[in-house]
Amino acid sequence: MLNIALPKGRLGDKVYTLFSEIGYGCPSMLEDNRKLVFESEEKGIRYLLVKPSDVAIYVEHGAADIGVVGKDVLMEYNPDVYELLDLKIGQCFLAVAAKNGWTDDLSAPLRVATKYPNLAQKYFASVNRQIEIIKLNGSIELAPILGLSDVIFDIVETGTTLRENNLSVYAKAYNSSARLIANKSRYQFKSEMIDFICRKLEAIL
Amino acid sequence: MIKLPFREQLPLKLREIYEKYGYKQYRMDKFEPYDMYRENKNFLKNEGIITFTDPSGRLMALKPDVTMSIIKNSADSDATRKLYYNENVFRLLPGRNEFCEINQMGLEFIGGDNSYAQAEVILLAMRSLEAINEEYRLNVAHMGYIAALMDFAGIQNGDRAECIALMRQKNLHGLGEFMQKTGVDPDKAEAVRAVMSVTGSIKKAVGKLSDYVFSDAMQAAVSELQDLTDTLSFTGCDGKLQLDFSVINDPDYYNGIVFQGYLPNIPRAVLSGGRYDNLMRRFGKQRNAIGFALYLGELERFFSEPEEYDADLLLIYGNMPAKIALKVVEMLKPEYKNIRAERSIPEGIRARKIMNISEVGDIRHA
Repeated sequence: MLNIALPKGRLGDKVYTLFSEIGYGCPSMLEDNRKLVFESEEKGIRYLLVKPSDVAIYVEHGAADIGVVGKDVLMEYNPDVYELLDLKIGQCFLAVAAKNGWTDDLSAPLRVATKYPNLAQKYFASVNRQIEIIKLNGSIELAPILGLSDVIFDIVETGTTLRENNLSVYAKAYNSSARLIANKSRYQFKSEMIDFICRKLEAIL
Repeated sequence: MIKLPFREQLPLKLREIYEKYGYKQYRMDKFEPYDMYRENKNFLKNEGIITFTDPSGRLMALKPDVTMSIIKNSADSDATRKLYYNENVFRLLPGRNEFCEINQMGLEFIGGDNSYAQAEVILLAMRSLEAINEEYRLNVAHMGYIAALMDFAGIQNGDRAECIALMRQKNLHGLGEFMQKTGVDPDKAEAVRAVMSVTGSIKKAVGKLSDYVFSDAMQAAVSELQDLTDTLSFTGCDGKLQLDFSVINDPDYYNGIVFQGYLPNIPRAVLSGGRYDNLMRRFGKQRNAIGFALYLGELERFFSEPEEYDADLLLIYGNMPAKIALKVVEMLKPEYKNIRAERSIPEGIRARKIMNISEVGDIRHA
C-alpha cells in the first residue's frame, strides 16, 4: 500500500486529477464528505488529505510514502526528503508586496509580515536588507494596511488579492510550483511503484 | 533468566559481530575541550553543542560525536586500529530548538589496506542492518567520483554545496535548472543528470557507471567501486547493496566510499558512514580511515515491545503487617513472573491476576 499525502484544497484537487489520469483514481474521493483518508485496495494506494504546509512533515516522518507540496513550503521547512518531480501546476511566486506607491525607508529595519519567516530571512539577507519578522498565519495582506508591517512576503498566484487590497508587488523573490516528494527510506523499498508513478506523471505533464 | 527486550539485545549482538572481526571497544569521556568541535563544526551538521566552563575556565563540550574523539586520540602510527563504540552523544535536533541524547553504536577502521578496509566495513554495515531486519538496503556512493564529475562539468567551488544538496534530494529538475543558471555546457549537464539516474543493485549500476568515465579521477573511483563489488560478491547481498548518489556527504570530510543504511518501517537512515581521510588530514593524521555509526535511538521507538500487563500478580495485603506481606511475596515468587504487593488496588494498573492476601492458604506458615 502506497500512502500519498495530498494538500487539501484547490491544489490537491488538481493533483488528484493528475493521479486519476494515470490510472490511480479513487472514486470515493469525489464524494462530498469530510473524510480525510481514501483507499483503493485494488490499486494499492491510499490518499491522505492534509493541510498543505503539513504534507512535507507527513512525508519526512514516513506517515506518507510520497506527497505533493508547493516548492514554497519545501524552501521554508527544508525537510530531508527526495524531490522527484516538478508537476508544473500550482505555479506562483514568492514576492515582497507593499501598499501602492510605497517606498523603502532604509534608515530603519524593514518590518515584514509573512507565513515564511525562514525564507524571508534568506531572501532579505541575499539583498542585504535588515528586517524584523512578524509571523502571521493568514490574511497577510491586512498587515501593511493596518500599519502592522511595512511589507509582506507571501505567495502571489494571480495578484487579484493584492490588487483588491491596494497592494502591489515590489520585488519577485522565488518561483514555486507543486513538487512530488518522497520519504527517503520508504523510497528504498517502494522505488518501483514510485518511479512508475513519476514516469507516468512526467508523460502527461 | 530475564529475557532482554530487543533494544537491549541488539548492542550485544552487534558487539559480538564487531569483536569477531577484531574490533576493540573504545570508551570515551562524557566531555572534551570545546576547541576541537568548534573547528570542525560542519562535520557535525549543526551547531548545537552543549558547552560549559570547567573550574580552570576552559570551555568544555558534552560530546556531540565519537569519530572526532577517536581520531584525535589515535596515534598516527603504522599500526591498524579497529575500534567500535556504543556511546550517547548530545546534539541539537535538526529543525527544533531542543537538545537530545542520541545513542550511537559504530566502528572505525583506521589505517590498513584501503581495498580490504572498505570491503570489511561495508560488510559489517550490512551485517549490522541484517541483525535488525533482513529486508535492509545499504546505499553506496563515491565522493571521489562526484568531485570528479563536478570538475568535469566545471561546477565552481562556491556552487558545489548547492549542487550536492540537489543531488541528495534526487532533484533532477532542480539540478537541470541549477546547471543552466551556472552555465554548465548542456551536453555535460545531460551527463550529470544521467549519472544521477544510475541507481539500483550495485553490480549492474557500477557496470552502467563505467559508461560515464571522463577523467582519470572518475576511472579511479569507478575501479574502487568495482573492486568493492567483486570483493563482496560472495555475500550474495547484491539486491540489498545499491549504488545511489543521493547518499553523498560533506566533501570537506568525506572522500571515497560513502554509504547510508535504511530499514523498512523506519523513516530515516539508521546507519551512515564513509571514508573520511579528509577529516583525518584536518587533525594532522596521515593514515586513512573509514567507519560508520548506527543510530540506535532511531530504532527504539520502532522496536518497543509493549508489555501486556504491568504485573503478573497483584497481591493486595490490606491491613496485614509488612512482615507477613513480604513473606507471602517470597513464598509465591516461584509461581509468578513478577509480583507487586500493594495495600489496595492502584488506579489504572493492568494485572494478569489479582489476589487478596487472605486468599493465600498458609499465611501462618509464611
